[in-house]
Amino acid sequence: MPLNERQQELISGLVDSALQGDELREAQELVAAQPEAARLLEDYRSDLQRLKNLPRMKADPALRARIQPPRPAAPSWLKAAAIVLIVGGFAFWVYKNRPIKKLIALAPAFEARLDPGEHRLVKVFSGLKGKLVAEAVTHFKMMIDGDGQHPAQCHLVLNYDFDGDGKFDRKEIYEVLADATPGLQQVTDDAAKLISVEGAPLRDMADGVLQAEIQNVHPQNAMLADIQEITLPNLSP
Amino acid sequence: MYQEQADYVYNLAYRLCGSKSDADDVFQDAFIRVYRFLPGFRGDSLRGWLRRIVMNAFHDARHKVRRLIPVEEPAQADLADISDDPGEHLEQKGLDGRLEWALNRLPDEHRSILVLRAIEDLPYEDMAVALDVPVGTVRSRLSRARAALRKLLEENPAPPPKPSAKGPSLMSFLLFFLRPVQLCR
Repeated sequence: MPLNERQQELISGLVDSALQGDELREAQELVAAQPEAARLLEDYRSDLQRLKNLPRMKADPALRARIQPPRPAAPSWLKAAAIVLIVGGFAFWVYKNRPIKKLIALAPAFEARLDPGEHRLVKVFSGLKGKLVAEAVTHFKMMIDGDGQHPAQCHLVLNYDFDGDGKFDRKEIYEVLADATPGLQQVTDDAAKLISVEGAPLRDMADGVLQAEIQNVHPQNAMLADIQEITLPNLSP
Repeated sequence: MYQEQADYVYNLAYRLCGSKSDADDVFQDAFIRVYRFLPGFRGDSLRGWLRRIVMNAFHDARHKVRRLIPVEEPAQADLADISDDPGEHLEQKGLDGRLEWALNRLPDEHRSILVLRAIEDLPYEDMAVALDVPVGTVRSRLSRARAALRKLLEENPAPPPKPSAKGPSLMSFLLFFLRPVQLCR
């Protein structure tokens, strides 16, 4: 005799030990009285055990790797602070390394006449501090008047003492030619006349000294020379 | 937490879905939800909380498929790994393939309740919470699920072992030809 739905439900509950009181008694009597109920009970118990024994499935390693937990998000204030720090640091770096376009006239009104026989004039600028760019060159502006004598030619020698220890570290020699026309004051502003460099490359000035020297290449002739301006490359004030 | 619970979540997803591809999707969706809601988790039972998330992800996946694929058959018939081979390929691997095949053929609500009872080993009260139904419904649904599973198993008994596809062995072939020679002696 087939079991009805309620009887099947009782057997199912019996398998799970979910029956109590009258229902439990009823189920037990049913199993004892009806072979179909006893067989169904055995089948259900067997099915339950087989289901429990099903293998535990595992995710593929590739899938597991794809679903890694996200990194804990940084607090918003920390992000803001990091942004401020980065932007501020970059701005400071740009500021510190900005090219300084300001011309620094180290030799205002440096005028002297080199009469025949006189060879050199020297001017010293001391207490210089600042950053110099190694690849750059020093610019100068000078006036030279050959006073009608020929040849008229001078060398501007710049001696650098970067750290003020009394020893020159670098020497640059510029050649400047004067025009032979009397009274024609030739102003030169061209670093291309650099003819010689000796010693260390330009580096930062720390209480440094610059000695500017005008040498008359042809001392038999008189010459009027004037260093109007010397501009060190990127020398910070 | 991920390392400890990933296998549990995947196994539950797989058993609920009955197929690897669907289980992969539910697994991913479940962990997306876990990551989203974990900071707010204050419950006592992590497993219970995970179970509910997997169940929700599973139900959402099923609803999505039903919306996309209007079919007369239950949606799980399209999703589960169903073939004409009732689990024989799994039996050959030493697994209870016939049971897996039958379990995967069941409607979602029957398979879900069997998974919760047998694999999750939940009492009726916890199953009622997980499924959001009264305890009485759990009891009747579980009974119907068992009956449906049993019917499938009985309608698809284990087939007799197939004869070897390789045919007669080389030795039997040689013996066949040697036999007349022996008789002549």
